[in-house]
Amino acid sequence: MTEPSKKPWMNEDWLAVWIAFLLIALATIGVLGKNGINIVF
Amino acid sequence: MSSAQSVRSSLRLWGASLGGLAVTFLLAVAAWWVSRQVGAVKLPFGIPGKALEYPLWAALLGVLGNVLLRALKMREYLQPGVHTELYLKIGLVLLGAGVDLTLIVSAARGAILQSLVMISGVFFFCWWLAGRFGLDEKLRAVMASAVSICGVSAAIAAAGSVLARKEQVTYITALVILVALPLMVLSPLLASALGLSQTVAGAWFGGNIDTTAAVVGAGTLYGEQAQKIATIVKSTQNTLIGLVAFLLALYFASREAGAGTRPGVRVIWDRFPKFVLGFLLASVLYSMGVIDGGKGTTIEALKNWAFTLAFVSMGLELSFSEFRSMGWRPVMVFLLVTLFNTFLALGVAWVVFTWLFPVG
Repeated sequence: MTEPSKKPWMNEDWLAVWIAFLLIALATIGVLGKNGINIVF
Repeated sequence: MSSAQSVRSSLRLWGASLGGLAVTFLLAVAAWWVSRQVGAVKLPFGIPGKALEYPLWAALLGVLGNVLLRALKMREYLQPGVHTELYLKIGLVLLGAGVDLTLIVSAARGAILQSLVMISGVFFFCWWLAGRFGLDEKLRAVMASAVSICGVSAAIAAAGSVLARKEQVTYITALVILVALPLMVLSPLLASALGLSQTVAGAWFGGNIDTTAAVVGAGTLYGEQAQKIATIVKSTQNTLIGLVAFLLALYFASREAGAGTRPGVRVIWDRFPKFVLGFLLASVLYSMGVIDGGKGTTIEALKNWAFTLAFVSMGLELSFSEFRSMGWRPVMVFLLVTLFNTFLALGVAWVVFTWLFPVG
């Protein structure tokens, strides 16, 4: 792409990894789940 | 730009991002609700409602939302809040939390072999065919990368390497999504008609469908093992983006006079999909019993929500307007290459995962 673009503050891949592991941690300690905020699907 | 204008533009961007986010979440909840309602009933011709799983409804509602937002002239405004790739990558890391490392190890050899055959075969076929149709060389490079590796991400990576025009990237991105959506639905039906095993079908979806979201969608529609194998095969293919981007940069730099500095090997790491590392780490933690993302767990529900958001976003991002500017000749090339890709991937997946490296 020829237009110079502003660099994002964090690479989207790493952002996804951080968010996913935050969600995993919240689910593992019980903040999310049957005894916390119940996420059903 | 004055400071008042700058504040106004920031507020507008924030409003658009939050609005886009709200629309995506609302449609995801609607897709979840519809799939639960349909899942409980028996459809005509004895088809169980459960067969029509959430990827289908999420993509369909995304497309309907897209049409509605266009009619209200709000689609462009809300676009900054639509993040298909981000939701997809979160979902893929969460998926890793339910995949045993032994499955990854046993599927890895086949996945690597299949990826090498598919990428080189489809890339060069596309490059040759697009040349025969007289397409611009940079458009050829972006299209060949998108169709042979992983759709949107590969198109963006290749465009960065060959300095393609922005319209060429949006054009290919629109084509990728347009073709991937029907393939996501048709591939599992074809696999079922052909009686393919979960492993071969998953490998086929991973090798054939361009965009990772649709690969996961097709795998989900076919079954749990198919979803896992499709993800492993597609992720293996994704890891080769960096190498292809590097080789393309090298090729175009050598052809264009005054192209400046030669590209460094660092581009291989820059373009490497880091979420794959998250997927592997989650799988290691699952295999060690530290976390559990297996069936019926909260992590599995979170993964399904992330994928639902990705499928809705994919529907919201679908666009036809780019075709007017670039014409239908590249569409022909893309469709012919997709057909070639479909048959080649079926043959390669069948040979590799049935005979060479079967997965137990």
